Amino acid sequence: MTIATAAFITLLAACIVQIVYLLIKRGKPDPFSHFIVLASSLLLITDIIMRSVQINFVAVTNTYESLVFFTGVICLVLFLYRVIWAEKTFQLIIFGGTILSVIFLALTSTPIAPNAIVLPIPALQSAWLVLHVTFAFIGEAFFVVGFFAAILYLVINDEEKKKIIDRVMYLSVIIGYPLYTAGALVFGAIWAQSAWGIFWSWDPKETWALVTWLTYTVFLHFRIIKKWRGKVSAIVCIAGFLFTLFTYFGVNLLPDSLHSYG
Amino acid sequence: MKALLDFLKSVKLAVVLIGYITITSIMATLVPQGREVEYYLHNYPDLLSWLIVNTGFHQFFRSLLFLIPAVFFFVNLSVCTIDRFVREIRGKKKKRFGPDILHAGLLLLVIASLITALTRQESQIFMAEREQYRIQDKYVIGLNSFETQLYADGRPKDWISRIDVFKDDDLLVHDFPIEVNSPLSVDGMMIYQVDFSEQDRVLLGGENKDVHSLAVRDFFKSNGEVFSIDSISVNSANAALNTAGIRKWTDQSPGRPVIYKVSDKVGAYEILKISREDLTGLQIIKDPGAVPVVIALLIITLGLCVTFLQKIGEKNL
Repeated sequence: MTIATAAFITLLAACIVQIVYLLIKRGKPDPFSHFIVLASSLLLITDIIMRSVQINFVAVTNTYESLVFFTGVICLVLFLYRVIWAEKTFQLIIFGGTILSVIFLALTSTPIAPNAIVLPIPALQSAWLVLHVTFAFIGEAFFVVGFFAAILYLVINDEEKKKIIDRVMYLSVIIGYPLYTAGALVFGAIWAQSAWGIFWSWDPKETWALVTWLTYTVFLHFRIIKKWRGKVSAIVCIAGFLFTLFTYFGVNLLPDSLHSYG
Repeated sequence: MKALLDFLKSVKLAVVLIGYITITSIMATLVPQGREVEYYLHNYPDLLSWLIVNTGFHQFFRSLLFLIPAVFFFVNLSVCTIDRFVREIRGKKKKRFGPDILHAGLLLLVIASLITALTRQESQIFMAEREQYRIQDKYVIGLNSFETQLYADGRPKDWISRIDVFKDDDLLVHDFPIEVNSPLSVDGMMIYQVDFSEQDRVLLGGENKDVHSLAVRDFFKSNGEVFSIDSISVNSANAALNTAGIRKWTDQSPGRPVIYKVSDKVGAYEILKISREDLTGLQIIKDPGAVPVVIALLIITLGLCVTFLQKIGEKNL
């Protein structure tokens, strides 16, 4: 059994515990599934460290490794949120993030993310690439929380809970946004400059990363305009994360992408 | 005047412009960019191809569809930044300069990008070992060696070009190893390792120990006579069978090609080698906007950090 498989099984166990508490033991906060999620995170990070030792470089250079890293960071962020924000309301947010993590790990067993250990090609052997990928994914992990908080915001009617969820949504974006900006745009541009002599080439992946960034920029500016807070903000937050997913998975389907390796 | 200023600094205008740029950028990724006009005429319905070509949508990020809103956004951001900064200075509330720094960084980024767009010069050259290449009249690049490193599975690990750079015959840089992700910066120029190729070459050695590496269609002079390389045949199994077809030119007319082998004489030159050579692909870039872009990116990062730290410090997030 691989480490990623062990992490997958662990996450499934966490899902089952969360479902039990959500459906059967209503009203009682789930006391331990977040520790199982943390265990999954540690397993996935261990997998990345072991692959890094094998390729003698930080193992975030192909789709499989980026999925494992991304999922590991999502699990870690979910754990931190659960520990810091222990209110019952957020069980559904944690559950949504856990389900998404399970889906991402399931993808590592599909042909879109071959798990063969492949040494990085010359263009990928850069510290800027490592910063680019890791910062972008850590930022996106916070967007995961914002995404499920936004869905929850649109679904529930309790105004008091909505206020708290709105804060969770906003907090996740204001943490994720600078990390994503630094990773996806700033470090990405510097890496492109050091590798190819051009900061920005309007490649579809770059354009979609910018689209994602602009969407979250709009979200943050909506806080300034009172009447656009709330429902509209939540919809923009959902759109932002859907664009994040498309930037990651969908852009490779578009023509003329330079980012064919990731 | 006040109404115009209020309009230009409004957050609503910023949101509308960002929304427009976002939506049109998405659309631009769905239509392949920069292809020949015929491509769009052939692959899209008449009306759509007419719209794509005549609105410049096939080169969206250079078209007015993008540039006019981008200019408006720049104006909006400028007015908004100045207005916000003045209010921060005059106001009695706790100062929050993070967004000001961030916005100033974005403005500098737009200006730096404009400098790049207007002044950037770039060229790509392919060179074999011992070749020299003249660029921008006063610089000469000489390739001392080109090494391809492979992993055990045959995949590329690195390409390393060791080069000399001369300026007006003075040696500026000696034997610098250029690798992918590790360019050479010299005299405001950046030289990148970006490509590689193979080419059949004839190596000629002169009496003055001058050496020339020539490919098909290259010309050379010897004792006042002009020659051109007509063909090169490389036998991978037996190098002794390698030949070069060379024409001698008389009154600007080519003669019949004569087949030569290694050690044969052509004019005052001797053929030293006929072989398939690895060529390095180097990109030479002079971009006065590059440093301002890096400064802008640093300012943006600083602005984000300050904004974040100040936000996190607030009790009522």
